[in-house]
Amino acid sequence: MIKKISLLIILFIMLILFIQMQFDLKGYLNYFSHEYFLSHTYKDTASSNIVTGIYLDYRLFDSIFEASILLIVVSGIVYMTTKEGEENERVFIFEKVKISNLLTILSRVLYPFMLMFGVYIIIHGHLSPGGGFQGGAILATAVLITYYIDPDKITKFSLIIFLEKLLFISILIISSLSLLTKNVLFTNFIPNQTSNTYRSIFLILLNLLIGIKVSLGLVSIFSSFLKEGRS
Amino acid sequence: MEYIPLYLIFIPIISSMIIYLFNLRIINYLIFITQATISVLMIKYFLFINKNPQFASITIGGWDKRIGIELKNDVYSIAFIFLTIFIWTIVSIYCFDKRKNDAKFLFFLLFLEGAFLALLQTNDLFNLFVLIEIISIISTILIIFKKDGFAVRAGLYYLLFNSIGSIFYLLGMIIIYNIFGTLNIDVIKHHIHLIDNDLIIHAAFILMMSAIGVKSALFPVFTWLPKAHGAAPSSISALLSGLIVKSGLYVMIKVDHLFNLYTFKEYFFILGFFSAIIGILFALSQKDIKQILAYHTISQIGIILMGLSTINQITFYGGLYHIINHALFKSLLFLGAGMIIRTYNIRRVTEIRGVFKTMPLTSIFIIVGMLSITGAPFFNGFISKSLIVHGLKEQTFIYFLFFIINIGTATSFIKFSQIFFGKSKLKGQATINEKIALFILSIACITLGLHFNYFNQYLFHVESPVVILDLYNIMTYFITIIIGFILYQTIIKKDYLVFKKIRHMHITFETTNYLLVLYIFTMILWSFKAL
Amino acid sequence: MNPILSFIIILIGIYGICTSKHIIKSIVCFNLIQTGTILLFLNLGYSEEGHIPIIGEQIEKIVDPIPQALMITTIVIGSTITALALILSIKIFHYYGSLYWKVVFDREG
Repeated sequence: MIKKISLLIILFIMLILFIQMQFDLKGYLNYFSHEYFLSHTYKDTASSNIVTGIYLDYRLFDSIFEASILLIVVSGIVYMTTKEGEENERVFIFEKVKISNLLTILSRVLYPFMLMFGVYIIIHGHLSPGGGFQGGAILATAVLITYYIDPDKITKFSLIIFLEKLLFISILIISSLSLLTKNVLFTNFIPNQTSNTYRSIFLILLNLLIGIKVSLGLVSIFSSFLKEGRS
Repeated sequence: MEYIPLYLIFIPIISSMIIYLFNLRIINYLIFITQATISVLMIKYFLFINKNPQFASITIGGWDKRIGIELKNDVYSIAFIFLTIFIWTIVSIYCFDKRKNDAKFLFFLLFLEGAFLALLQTNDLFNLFVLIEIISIISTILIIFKKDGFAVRAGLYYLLFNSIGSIFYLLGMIIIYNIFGTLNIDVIKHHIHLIDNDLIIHAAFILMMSAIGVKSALFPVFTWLPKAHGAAPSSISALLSGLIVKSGLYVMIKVDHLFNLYTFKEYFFILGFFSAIIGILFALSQKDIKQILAYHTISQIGIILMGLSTINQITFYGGLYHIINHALFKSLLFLGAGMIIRTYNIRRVTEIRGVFKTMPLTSIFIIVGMLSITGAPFFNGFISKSLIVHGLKEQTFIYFLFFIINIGTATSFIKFSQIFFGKSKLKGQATINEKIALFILSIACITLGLHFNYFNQYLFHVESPVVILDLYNIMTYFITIIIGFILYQTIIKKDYLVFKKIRHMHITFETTNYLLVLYIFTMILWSFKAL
Repeated sequence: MNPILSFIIILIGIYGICTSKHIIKSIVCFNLIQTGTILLFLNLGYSEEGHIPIIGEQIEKIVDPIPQALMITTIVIGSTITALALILSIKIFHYYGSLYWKVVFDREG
């Protein structure tokens, strides 16, 4: 009881301090980045969407590690859920549960649209809101909707892991290609003089690879959960 | 040439991927090729940087410093990189016999090395956060590698508590970003004195420091460390205790230099003292061989913190030097403990007997580690402890506190040394690789103890002006050992009720979080002193 | 939205994590703190007259794009940590038959 009351008091003090600090902060806010990105991004990165420009060019190094986090967690989860010697034969079969016909038919109708929407979000990442990570999540949902359509569907698990690692390596290779053309690492490899339409090929390519990687990762996490829940 | 920092990060990562993808026994030897390559590259880079210091920082992608991510090397990071590569090589030699068919283990091990090297070099606040998270996730997976219940619960505790801690870092970073509009540490450092509002600066500092306190297991929030380090495989415990815990201290040096606040120096000095004392108290009560070593990590981190949070320059370098020394002797002790546990199959100090008979060579190496940690003359622990003490000699009270910590450490290791005596019929099962790893580490301990001046000049570019090996310090050490021996015979050996209580004390997860909130709150109260 | 509201979400999460005795509840509270942090960052970068950060015609002022780019990363990190924590708690349930911190840690071995 004492613990809870003291905790509430402490949190209340923190709240008051935060409100005070937030009012103070208003006088110090710095708008450097707003102006910089508005005037430079399109010229620098060929991306209309500034957010995409930031995470695929200015801060590409961060995004590589972000993709690697997903890869590590997927390998960790797969390691946790496999038993010894099971690794290679491991497949995931969705359990047959009673699914109403309505849901199945609706899923069949939705499936292509969801795939298409996911790919759209990924490919238009540099023009409109979206990008690899968001589109990848949508793609993963679309793949998982097959759970309702065809419960007997079998996918090889080791293949997904293999593909994911391969995609990560190709992301690394594509982003370091600029060492050959521009002599700097981790930026757009297409020279600055070419028109912006060509330069955005780099953005589309990376967004696509990241999107596929994210969706594969999410699918394998989800199916590990399915398997673990049943055992 | 100037891209070597990036190669250092990505060579281990790519080779870890290759090892995982091929999953072949021959490919697994790639780990040694990787270690050799990055060692050579690092030596080349070190010589290069010494000649052309302007190349010490690169901005990735060639953007403006304020927008892109910058990698920067200074004296601290270069020393840490050498240490990292060295410890990783030792650990991979040590565990290769056991793990040569285990591509997954090697994958995580090498990936962790890449991420750790990136953490040491990055000069960007958000990048630092991402790397801290990657390191805690991979450490979790390595802790639970045995997949037994003991390890899994420790892993979950570690993962959740560390992630909660690092969110506070993110909160501090948000405040900093909104004031300066950039995430580059150098640019922020350049402008931070222009902000005259103490409340904002202190809030950001407190939030960041609370995350760092969790990461480096300071006094109220250390409970995750013995659990995680006790449950992990021995080679991983060595890595965690030797290096990963130091990532918190490294970030702390960075953040401390960034804010340059003098208000909190005393606070962290007191906190360091409490960590040291509490760690020793717990270590004295434990009987599990790995738990004893894990609690000693807490106490040693306390000593390092005491060194780092003083204004005195020599004491500061003493703390820095102690980080390196602690990494060496603690990994030596953990690796040795792993061999003992494997031979005897029990972990209780009171039941293991006759190690000196079964494994004479290993015991000599472990004794070297013990001498180092207690601060015996001619070993590396002695040097750094003397450097720390040197700056404090004028303040008698603090010197006395330090003396108490030393006595505690000595007592605890006299308790530890009971495993060497007695008889045992078991046969030692140490492989040649493990012996080589321990041998290199003990040689390093002795070399750093004898030729510390050379290392200090070469790595940190400082002269240590003190005559350390004087009779006074040597006498102090022997007095410490004698008092420790008496204490052990009279008090610790009897196993009084107090120690039993401490041994069985369990702090639950919610209480740990409550302690974290209290830790933040005490910092807030302390900061009112300055306002 | 107001930064203060998002800070209140963080505080609720902290209160929850200091009092909940169940592993799943702790994970939920962790997510709450994370969400609050993300909202706080986005709110501080928001301004009334700012447009979305996509370059088009006649845009003079945008909201801060950096928080948005950084928060994608934070969301991915948060979700992966949640996934790992959940799989570990499933494992813990298999070993110990309970999901209360106290019960799990009181067992020996």
